[in-house]
Amino acid sequence: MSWTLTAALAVFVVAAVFLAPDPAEDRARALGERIRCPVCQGESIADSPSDPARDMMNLIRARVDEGRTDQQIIEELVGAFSGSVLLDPPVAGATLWLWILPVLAVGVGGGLVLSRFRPRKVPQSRLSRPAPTPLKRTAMGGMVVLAAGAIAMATVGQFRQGRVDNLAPIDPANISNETLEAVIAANRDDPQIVGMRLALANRYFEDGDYQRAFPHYEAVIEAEPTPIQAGAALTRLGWMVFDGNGEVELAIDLIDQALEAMPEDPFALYLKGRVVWCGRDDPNGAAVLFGQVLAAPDLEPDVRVSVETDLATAQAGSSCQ
Amino acid sequence: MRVVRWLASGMVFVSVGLAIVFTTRFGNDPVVVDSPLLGQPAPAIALPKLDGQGTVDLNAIDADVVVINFFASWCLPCREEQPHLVATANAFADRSVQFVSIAYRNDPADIAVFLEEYGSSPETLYLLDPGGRAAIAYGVFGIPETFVIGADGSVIRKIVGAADALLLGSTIDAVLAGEEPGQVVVGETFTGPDG
Repeated sequence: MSWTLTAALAVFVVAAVFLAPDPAEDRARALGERIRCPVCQGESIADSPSDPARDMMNLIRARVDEGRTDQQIIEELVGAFSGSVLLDPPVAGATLWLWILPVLAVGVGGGLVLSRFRPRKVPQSRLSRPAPTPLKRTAMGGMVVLAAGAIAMATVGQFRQGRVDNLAPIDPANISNETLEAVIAANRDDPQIVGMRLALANRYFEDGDYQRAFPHYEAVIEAEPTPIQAGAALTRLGWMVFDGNGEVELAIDLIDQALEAMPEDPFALYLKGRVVWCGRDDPNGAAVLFGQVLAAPDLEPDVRVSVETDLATAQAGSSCQ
Repeated sequence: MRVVRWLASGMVFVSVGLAIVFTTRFGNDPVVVDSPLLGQPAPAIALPKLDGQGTVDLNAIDADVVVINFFASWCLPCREEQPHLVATANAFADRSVQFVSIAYRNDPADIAVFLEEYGSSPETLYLLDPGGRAAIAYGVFGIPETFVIGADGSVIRKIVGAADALLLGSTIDAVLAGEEPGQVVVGETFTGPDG
């Protein structure tokens, strides 16, 4: 008899151990029921079959096993997804009204109902006051709605602080060469990119980085540019082959091609003058070109002074400086 | 009675206001909720490399700017974004900028096909996210989403949607220039293979 009782008790204990709910899993599920599935509509991660919800439940189980408190686990998820991940909004901050308002509504509603049933004296003075006209009532209601709307919009504006929904206009001067390189590389088949490529090449040219400028100018020439774009690229290519490689005739040939597209371009004329002067050692030929540069009406004053100095030196028959 | 009437008017006032607030704010796609990570230290997490050659601790990356992009082969905007990510990563190769692409709920074989078709950069670390731990740590609602981490290890920018090279590059420029944290929403995101 005692053996039978002992065996029954043993079976009961084993069954109780194996069939009893797992407290850790219960806790994880309870936490999961408080968390909104980020890819679902109003569904908790405990109830959602989606993969992200399953991943989040697994994270919660892991955190429970690690011994984290409920508060720590909730804070971890809110810290990543924001308070919107909570199915019940927090009783604080902007969502505090969600909790207060129903209580207020019940209180005020109850007060209104009670006031209807309570017998009251109406002062004599009030009896003589005319009731508001329908128009006046509508106007007052409209004002309430408008005022509430204005406050609401201000609140929404406060919510949105810190978010940059629209980019501030990008100042081309602040765009790095790397960004321009990236945009050009990502849009290399777009014919509209020629202008940006030319601007980047000019940056490299002005920095004396001919190695980076050269392939961009070549690409501009190959991309069916406008005559002005082609002229700008050919002028600088011509100068680079002279300044970088000492190739005088090729430089003059390239700048001459540029001048076919833009015959009176002062920059092309000036660079050709420098090549003629310094490469061919021809100060007279250079002086003629510098004179043509000075005929341009819109030269910057400092540029004009510099070209006038070169002209005077060349006219004196001196070597290029 | 007058007090009750004033209270009733106040209730109408507050109710209308809150209705406008919540329909304006909460009727939106949840992905545009500001990330609480902005201005905060980037989550510490280590992820395995796509090629199986070890793991990468994201917080141990030594760079002035770290660009972390969540993508997947089943995400249509990611296909549009990928050439821009590749071009930007290559363009900033000589700067202290590290691109990291984290595959979100994706098989390595599918990722390999995606990178083959839409391009990859030798300057980018391609990582897996088993169990979605990184996506949870970064509060990813849908993809593509991109986080830009500054030199001090804090999250400076979040880009929701497919970014182009101009946005990526100018964002890096802005972070290098020390601009304030902020979030940019440029397009739709996908939450799973079924959209």
